[in-house]
Amino acid sequence: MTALLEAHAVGYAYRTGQPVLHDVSFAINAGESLGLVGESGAGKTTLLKLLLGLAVPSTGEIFSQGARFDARNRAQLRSYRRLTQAVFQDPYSSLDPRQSVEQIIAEPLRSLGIARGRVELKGLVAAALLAVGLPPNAATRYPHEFSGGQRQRIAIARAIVPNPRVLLADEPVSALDVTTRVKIIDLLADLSSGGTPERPPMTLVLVSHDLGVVASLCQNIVVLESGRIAEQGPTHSVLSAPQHAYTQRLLASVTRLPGA
Amino acid sequence: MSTSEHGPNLNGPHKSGLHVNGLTIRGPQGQLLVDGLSFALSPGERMGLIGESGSGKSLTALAIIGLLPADLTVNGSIRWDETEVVGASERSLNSWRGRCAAVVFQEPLTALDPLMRLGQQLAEPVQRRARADGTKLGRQALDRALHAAVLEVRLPDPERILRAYPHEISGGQRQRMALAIALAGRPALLIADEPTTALDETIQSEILDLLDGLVRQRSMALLFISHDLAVVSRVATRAVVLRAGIAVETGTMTNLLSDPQHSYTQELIASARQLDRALDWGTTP
Repeated sequence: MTALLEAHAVGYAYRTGQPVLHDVSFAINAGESLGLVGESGAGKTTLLKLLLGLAVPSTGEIFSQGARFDARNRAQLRSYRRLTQAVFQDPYSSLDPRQSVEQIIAEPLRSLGIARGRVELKGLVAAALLAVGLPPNAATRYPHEFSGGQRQRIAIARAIVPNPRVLLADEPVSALDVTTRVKIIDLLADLSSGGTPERPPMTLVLVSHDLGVVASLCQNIVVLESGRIAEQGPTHSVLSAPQHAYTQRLLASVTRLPGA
Repeated sequence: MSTSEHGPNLNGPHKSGLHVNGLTIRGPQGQLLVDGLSFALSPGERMGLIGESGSGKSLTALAIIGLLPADLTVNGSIRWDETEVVGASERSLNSWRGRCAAVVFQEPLTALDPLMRLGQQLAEPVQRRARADGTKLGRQALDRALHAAVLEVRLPDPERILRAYPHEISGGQRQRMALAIALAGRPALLIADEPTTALDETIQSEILDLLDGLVRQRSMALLFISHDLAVVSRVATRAVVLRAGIAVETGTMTNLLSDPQHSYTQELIASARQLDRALDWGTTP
C-alpha cells in the first residue's frame, strides 16, 4: 500500500540556527491516524510545518501518495492542499473576526476552486456545519458570537469542507476546557473513523503534548525528543511497554485522577 | 465597596486562617462575575479551587490578595486572621501581602521583571521580611539567605541563577524562581493560580512535588487554583468547584471524586476519566 504521507530521513535547520530535526522517518497510511508527541522544543511544530508545506526539509524528503512533494512547486502545493487541511491550537486567532462563518468555511472551496456557484457552495458549507454539530444558522453569524469549543468546531468545518484525506491538527484541544475537550475529541474520532458516502474518513496527524489525547485518537505514535525520534509504533504497544527512557518519563509524569 | 460585619471569632484571635464570606464581584457594567462565594481555609490546610474558563477562580485569587482591577466592584468579606482585605487601603495591603499571603501565577514571565537580575528580585521580599521581623541583614547574611532560597526550590548553581535575567533561564526554572520569591516573605498562605499549566508535563510533575513538599514542610495554608482535577487532587485535601461564579459543590477531594453530587462536578470527572481511560487502553490493550 502506498502511504498517504511519508517522511523520509527528514532534517530541518532554521536559517540562523542548529538543526531542530534530525533523520525523521515515518509513514502515514490511510485510516491509521498518527500522533506526534514530545515536549516543547522537541520539533513537533517544525515537523508539522514541513507536512503543511510551509517549509521545505533541509535534508531528506516528504512523499505524498508516493510522489515526492516539493512545496516550492505551486501546482504541487495546490493539489497537496486538496489532500491535507489543518486545524490549529487557538480558535481565537485562527478565525478572521470580520468574516461570517459561511465565508470562513467556504474559503478553502474558493481558493481550491472546488465549488462552482453560490448554491453549491452554500450546500457544502451547510453539510460541513452539520458534520461538526453546529446549527445551520451558524453560517450567517460571526466568530465572536461563539465559545472556544464552538470556534474550534468552525475551524474543523473549514478544514473538512474540501474533503481532505489527511487532517493535520496542531494541539487542537489544548486551549479548551476539559469538558469541551472531550467533545471535540469525540468529534475528531467520528470524522476519522466513520465517514459517509459524501465524506470519506480522514486520517489524522495530531501534534500534541498530551498523551491522553493521542491515545484517544491515534493508532500510531511517534515520540520526538530534541528533534529526533525516540520511539515509534502502534500507540497501545508504545504506551503499554515504552522502550525508550524518554517515553517512560513522559508517561510517568502524566497526572491522573486517583481511584477509578 | 462594602464590608460585612462578622460575629465573634471562635477560633481564637490570631490564627483563624482565611474566611471568605459572600464574596461577590461585579464587572464594569454590573455583570456578576463571582456570586456569593463563601469558604474557609484553616491554617496549614491545602484546598483547591476548581473551575473552567469564566468560572471566576482567578478573580477570586486576585480578590483574596487585594489585586483586583479597579473597575471591578467587590462585596462581601475576605478575612485572613484579623485582617479584612475587602475595602482595605493599598498601604495596609502592601505590608500584608508577601508577609501573610503570596501568589504564584500561571505565567512566571508576568511575575518576574525582565530587566532585573533574579537575585535582586529575590532580595526584595527577603529584606522586607527581615525588616518586618526587626532584623537587619548585612551583605553576607543576605547572600546566604538568597542562596538558601534558590537551593530550597531545587535550582542548581545559585550563583549563576542569581546573576541571571529571567529570559536566561528555562520556563520551569522561572516558575521555581517565582515560587522562591513568593516564599521569601514566609507567608502563612500561598495562593497558586494554575502554576503548572504552562509547563511541559514532566516539569509540571516536578513543580507539583516541590510545591507540595514546601507547603507541608512549612505548614502553610495553600489555595490551589486550577481547571485540572487531577492536578488539584495531587496537592489539595479539599476543594470548591466553581462554575460561572457560583460554588456548585464543596467537599473533601476523596468525596468529590468518589461521590460527586452536582451534575457539573460529575461531568468534569467523567471528562478527565475519559482521557485517563484512553491512556489505560494503551497500557492494557
